[in-house]
Amino acid sequence: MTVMRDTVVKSLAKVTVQGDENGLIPEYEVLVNLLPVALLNSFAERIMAAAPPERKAEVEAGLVRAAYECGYHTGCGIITSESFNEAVMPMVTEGAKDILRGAYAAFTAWGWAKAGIVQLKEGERMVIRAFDYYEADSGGEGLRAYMFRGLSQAFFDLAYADPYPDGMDTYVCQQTKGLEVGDPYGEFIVTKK
Amino acid sequence: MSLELNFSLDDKTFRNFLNGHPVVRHSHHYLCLITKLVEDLSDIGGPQILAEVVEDSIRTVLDDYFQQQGTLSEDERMRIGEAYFATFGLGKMAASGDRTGGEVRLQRSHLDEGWRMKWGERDRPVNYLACGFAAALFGAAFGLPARSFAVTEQEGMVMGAPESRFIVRAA
Amino acid sequence: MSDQFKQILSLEQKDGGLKGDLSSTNIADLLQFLSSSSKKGVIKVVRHPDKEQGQVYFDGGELVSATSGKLTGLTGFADLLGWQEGSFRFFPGVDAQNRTVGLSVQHAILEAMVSMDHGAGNVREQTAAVMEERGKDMEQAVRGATEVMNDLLEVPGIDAVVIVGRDGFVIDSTGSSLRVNIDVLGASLAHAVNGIEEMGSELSIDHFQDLFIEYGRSVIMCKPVGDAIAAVVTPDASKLGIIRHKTKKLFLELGQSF
Repeated sequence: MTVMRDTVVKSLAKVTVQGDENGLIPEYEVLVNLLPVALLNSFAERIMAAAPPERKAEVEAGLVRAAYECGYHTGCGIITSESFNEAVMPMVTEGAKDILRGAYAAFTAWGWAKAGIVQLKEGERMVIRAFDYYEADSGGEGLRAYMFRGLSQAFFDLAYADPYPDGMDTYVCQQTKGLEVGDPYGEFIVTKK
Repeated sequence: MSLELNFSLDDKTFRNFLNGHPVVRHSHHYLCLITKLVEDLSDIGGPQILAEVVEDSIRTVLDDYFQQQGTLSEDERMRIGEAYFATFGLGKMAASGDRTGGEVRLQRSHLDEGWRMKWGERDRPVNYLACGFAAALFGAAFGLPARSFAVTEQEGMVMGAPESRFIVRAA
Repeated sequence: MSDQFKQILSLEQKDGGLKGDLSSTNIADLLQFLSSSSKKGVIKVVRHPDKEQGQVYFDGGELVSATSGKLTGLTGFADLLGWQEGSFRFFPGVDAQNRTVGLSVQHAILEAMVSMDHGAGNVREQTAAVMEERGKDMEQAVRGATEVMNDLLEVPGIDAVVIVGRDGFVIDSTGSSLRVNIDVLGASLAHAVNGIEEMGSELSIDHFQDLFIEYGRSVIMCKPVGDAIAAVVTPDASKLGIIRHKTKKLFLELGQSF
C-alpha cells in the first residue's frame, strides 16, 4: 500500500473555505487567506516589471521566499492536522516518500497545482511535474512559478531536512520547464542547496 | 442584502472558484513576507504597487458581483465589500463614507495579527493590502474609476492599537 | 505470463525435467518465470544449429552464475539473451559450483540488455556509467523517457502509453487517449498494482512483473518501470505476443528514468 492520490484528493478537496465571524480562517496553526488568483499573479508580474535588471533576482528570491515560509509553516500544520491524519496517514507505508506523495495530492486538492512526483531520490533529489498551476496564467517573462518553487522546497525540507529551525533552507528548487513559456508541463527539481 | 457565495471546483484541474473568480489559499506567512518584500522595495514603489494591484483585482471581483446583482444602494455595496473582505479571511471590516471619502476600521486583521504572530509589534502601519481593498470598495460602491480614492492607514493593530483605522479621501 | 509458461512447460514436461524450445520463449522470460516460481536451479541451453552450450544458475531470485560457451558471468549471460534458436532444460534444486554474477535476476537482465546495446566490454562499468550519467541529469533522463514512449507507440497494436506513479499520478502519456480517461486509468492502475503487490508480498513470491487486463474494447498491459508503472493500451489481444516481444527492451530502458 502506498498513498493513493485520488483518494486523498477526494478527501481533501473542500470547496467552501471562508472567514469566520471575525473574518479570519484559523486552520493548520496559521491564519489562512483566500485571494483571487489574478491578484497574486498580477502582483508578481508588476513587481518584477518594476524592478530594475540588477534587482530582479532579489525580487524573484523574495517571491519564492514568501511561498517557502508559507509552505514550511503551513505544510507543517497540514501534515500534522487531523484531516491529513485521517486522509493520508493510514496509507503511509514508505515514510517520508509517502508523506510527500500525500502533500502533492493535497497541493492538487486545494487548487494550487495539479502536480505530482516523477522521480525521488530520498533526501537528495526530487523531480515534480505540474500539468496545471495558477502561476501559469501570470504575465511576464521567463519561467515564473515562484510559489510552486517555494512550496516544493519547503515540502522537501519538511520531509528530509533537520527539524525546525535548523532544517530550513537545506534544499533549493529550480524550475526547468513551464506552462507559462509554452512547455507541455511545468517541471521542478529540488536538490541540496 | 448579504453577500451570496458560490464556491465551485474544476473537476479536471481542481482549481477553486468563488463567484466565478479563481481563488487560492495561502497563509499569513505568505502575505506578511509579500508585505515585507514591498517595503524592501520602497525605492521602486513597492507598497504602492501592492496597493494598486489589490485595488484593481478586488475592483474586478466587486464590479462583477454588483453587475450580476442589479440595482444595489451604495450602502448595500459597502456591506457586500465588507463581507468579501471577511470571506477572503482578511479580517472584520467596517467602512463608512461617501464619494468624497470616509473611514475604514478593522476590528480584526489577518495581516496585522499574522504579522504580530510572526514578528511581533512594530511602530508603523503595515496593511497596504487593506489600503488597496478600501480604495477598490469605495470606487466600486460609488461607481468611480480606479485611483479615485487615496487611502492612508492612520493606526494599525500591528502597532498595538485595538483596531486598525484608515482614512479614505477622494484623490 | 504465468499461464503461458505453465502451458509451454507442462506440455514439454517429460522424465522429471522441464524442457522446451527457444522458439516459444526466450531466456529472460524463462528465467524470470522460473526464478519466481522455484527456489533455485539451473537452466541448461543448447543453441541450434551449432550446439553451443550455456547455463544459468539462480537461487532465491538471484542470478548466481551464467556461462555461454567460453563466456562467463554477465558477459556470458548477455550472450545467452541473444540466443534465438535452441532448446532448454530446467533442473530444479541444483546449486551453482561458482559465483560469477551475484545480482538479482531483474538487475542482471537490465545490465545484460545495456551490455548488448553497447557491444562487448565491461558491462557493469558501462551500466554504472549510464546510470550515473542519468542520475546527474534527470532532465535528460525524462527526455529519454519521452523518446522511449514514442518508440513504444510505434510498436504495432499500441495506441497509448501511460506512465503512472505508484500514487496514481499520471506522469506522462502519449498516443490516443480517446478510449480511456488517462487520469482514471492512472488512479485505477495504482490501486490495482497496490493490491497485486500486497498479494505478492503476502505470498512471498516477489514483486509483480507483468499485468494484462483484457476488456471487451481494450487490453491494458502494464509493467513496473523503476518506481513507476508503465501501461500500454491496445484495442484487442491479437497483437499481444508481438507487443510483449518488442516492448521488453523499451520497458527496461524506461525503468532507468523513473
